Amino acid sequence: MGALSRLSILLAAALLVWAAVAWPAAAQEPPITAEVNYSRLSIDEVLTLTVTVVGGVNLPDPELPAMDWAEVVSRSPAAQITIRNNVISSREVNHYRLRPTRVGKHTIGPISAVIGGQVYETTPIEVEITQAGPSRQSLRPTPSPMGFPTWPSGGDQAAFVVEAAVDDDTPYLGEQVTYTVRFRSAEVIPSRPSYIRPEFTGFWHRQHSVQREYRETISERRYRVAEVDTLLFPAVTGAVTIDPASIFVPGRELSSNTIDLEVKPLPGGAPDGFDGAVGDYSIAARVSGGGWRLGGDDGREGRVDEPLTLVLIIAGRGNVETLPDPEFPEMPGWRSFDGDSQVNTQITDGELLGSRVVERVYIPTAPGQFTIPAIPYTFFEPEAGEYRTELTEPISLTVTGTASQQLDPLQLSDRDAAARVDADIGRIKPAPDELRASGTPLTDSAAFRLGWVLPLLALAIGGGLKLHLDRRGRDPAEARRRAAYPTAMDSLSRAGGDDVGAILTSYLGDVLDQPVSGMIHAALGELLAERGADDALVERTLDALAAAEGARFAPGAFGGPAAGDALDATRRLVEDLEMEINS
Amino acid sequence: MSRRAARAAALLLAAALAALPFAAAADGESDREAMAATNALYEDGKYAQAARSYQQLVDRGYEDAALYYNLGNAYFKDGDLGRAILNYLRAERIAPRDADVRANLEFARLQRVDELDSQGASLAGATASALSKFTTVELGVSALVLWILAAAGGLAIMFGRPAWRSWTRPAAMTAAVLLALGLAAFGGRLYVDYGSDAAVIVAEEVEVASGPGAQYAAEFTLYAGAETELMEKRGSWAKIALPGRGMHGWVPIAAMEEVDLPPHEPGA
Repeated sequence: MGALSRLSILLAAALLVWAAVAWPAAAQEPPITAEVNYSRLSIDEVLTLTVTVVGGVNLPDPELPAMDWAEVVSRSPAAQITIRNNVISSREVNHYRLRPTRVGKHTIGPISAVIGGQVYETTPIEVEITQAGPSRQSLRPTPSPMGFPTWPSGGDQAAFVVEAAVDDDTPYLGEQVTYTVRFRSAEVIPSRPSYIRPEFTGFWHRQHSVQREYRETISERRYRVAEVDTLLFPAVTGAVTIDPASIFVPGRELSSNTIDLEVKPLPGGAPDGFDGAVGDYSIAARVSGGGWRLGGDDGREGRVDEPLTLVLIIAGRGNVETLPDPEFPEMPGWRSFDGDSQVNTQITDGELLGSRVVERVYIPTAPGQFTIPAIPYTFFEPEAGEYRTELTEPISLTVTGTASQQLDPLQLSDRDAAARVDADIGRIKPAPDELRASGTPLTDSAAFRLGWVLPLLALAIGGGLKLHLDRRGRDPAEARRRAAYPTAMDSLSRAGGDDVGAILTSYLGDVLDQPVSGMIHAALGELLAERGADDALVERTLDALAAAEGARFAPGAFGGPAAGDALDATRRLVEDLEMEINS
Repeated sequence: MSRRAARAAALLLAAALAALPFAAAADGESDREAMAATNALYEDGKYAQAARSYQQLVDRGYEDAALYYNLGNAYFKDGDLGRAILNYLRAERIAPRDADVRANLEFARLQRVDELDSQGASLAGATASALSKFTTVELGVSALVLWILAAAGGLAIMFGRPAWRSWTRPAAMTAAVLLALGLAAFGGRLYVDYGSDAAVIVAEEVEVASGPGAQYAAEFTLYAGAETELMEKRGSWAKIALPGRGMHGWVPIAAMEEVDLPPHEPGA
């Protein structure tokens, strides 16, 4: 191998290592980012500055630079904690609402946060404040055609095609838009293609974790298709362009088309209290507190200095993470402190749903009757194209007791912290007295198998016996027939020579199931023949009966040795008859 | 001996167990002590060593729920989510109603990247969930007892006095119905144990290919702890399926482990 070849291999290996390290790093979200919803606005409008901090646990609050041209009206923090493969990561989104105080071009300087001992900063953001009037302006004013490119009809179609589209190219500010990237592949790719999303400048975005895969035939060419959705929420009005998405397959980078949208501003005439929420929401209020019990009219009863937590839950469809918080009521005679806030989101049927739970702790300082008034929440519903206001139910409170010492707010924080459960696996178990060894499987155990066979045998034997007994019990003729031979043999063993006639007649009567005494010999012979006796046996039987009848008229003819001979002959005859006609 | 000295001795013993293969056949008592010493390693934060030591006890032929549970904990703490879930599942098969095992298994499942429903909401899933609360021995012995009762009832009907029929027939019919249910449950459990081979992805991330080899295209990706069904093995590749999802593909055998262990004798 030449030096040039070795150098090429080393270079390729170095590139691979760089790619493996640099690409994931490039795809990672920076620790702190900032964006505004308008690049230009009038002095009577409110600017929303969104600062996102990501990292491990215990994220710090971002430090805003000094701004002499605006005042911070409110801050809405929302934290999300994710545990993946035992690694805990947090994401805190802070929405600052800034009210401009001076017109002109201003800069929001670098916003910093110290994460893991290292200082991270955002890039500065330019904002222009104009005199009062409609002057909101987007960041990218270049409209152009929209939607998927036309699929080539017939001819040479590309082996790989990447397309991008949105489900709505004229959304309202803050309304959900679904951005879909579709990758068609007519060839087998040896490794999984990589997807690099566009920057989505001017949007709050969230990638849908579920991607669709299916097959499609176009002009007799079979394609494997993969689609990935990203949910976008426009943060600026006017024309906005989404840059191409990229798909990397071995040896090639494929780019999608750009997408242009015209983001509509929210219509005028917003009711008082509207703070920029877009979507479809409901609001509910509940109170909680250890010492507060249910009173009359669904109200609550508690004592002075007993903390009460008012929980407001806003749930519905829309970008819940960036929703402004509802305004908590002021309660005269009560002290109040900020509580926790929590955001839960999920994507269902391609829509971002979720809830925002915000809390405020109230402490009554004097007894009396109080009411938490109905708390309004106003939002713009894009589908209906109108503003709506939802209200909570008022809650009545009864406070008893007398004013007592002030409660240090720090104690509340400590108590909240103590209530938090440290989620982890359960502890290990102590060593048992005896470690259980692996044994023979149950199904291979002889006792187990015998346990199944023995009842089966018992049932089979019992069933056969029962059948036999039943059959005998139901047929007297059969019973007599079966008893004929043992009865005859038993009688012969105990009888004298004069009895053989009666024994033989009785036997034949039982076997033939009809009395034979008095029957003429010809008829008896026919009956025996019908039952299978051959002529010789019939003749022997008739002779024996004739001899027995003769003996009746000559008593003692079967006495002495003749008696034994007669009994033996009769015994043999019965045996032969049993064999021939009764077996 | 002071507590500190005892603890040091226990740690030393556990370290020796972790570092060296078991050279000689030890009796059950020494293995029990080995487990206690390994517990001390765990408590001391030496999770990788503890996992190795627990695993050696398992390799010696012990199938103890506490052992598998502790092994799962050690793997979990060591960041090996796949093997943690694998061993929790093994512990669950031996002690299906152990609350600690179930709690840790559910907690570990929540840490997975893949959002997989291990049993699903179907009737089959509900049945599998109900069956998983009993061991094979429990279901087998129950079915056997019901069989003996049903057979005795049958014999009582056949040969019992007519006066007994008022209670022998209902009793035998009840036993027969219960026997049918018991047999179905036992059969279902045997199918789970022997008919379907559960397997867990133990690799951090694995691409599931359309065929048994690296030359086949990747269909989808699974991450550590994904619970799958092993369908076939071919060479160094295994065909797996995601229960209830109709998705299947091939992964390297080293990327997964079967929940069932091959039978072996203690001390082997």
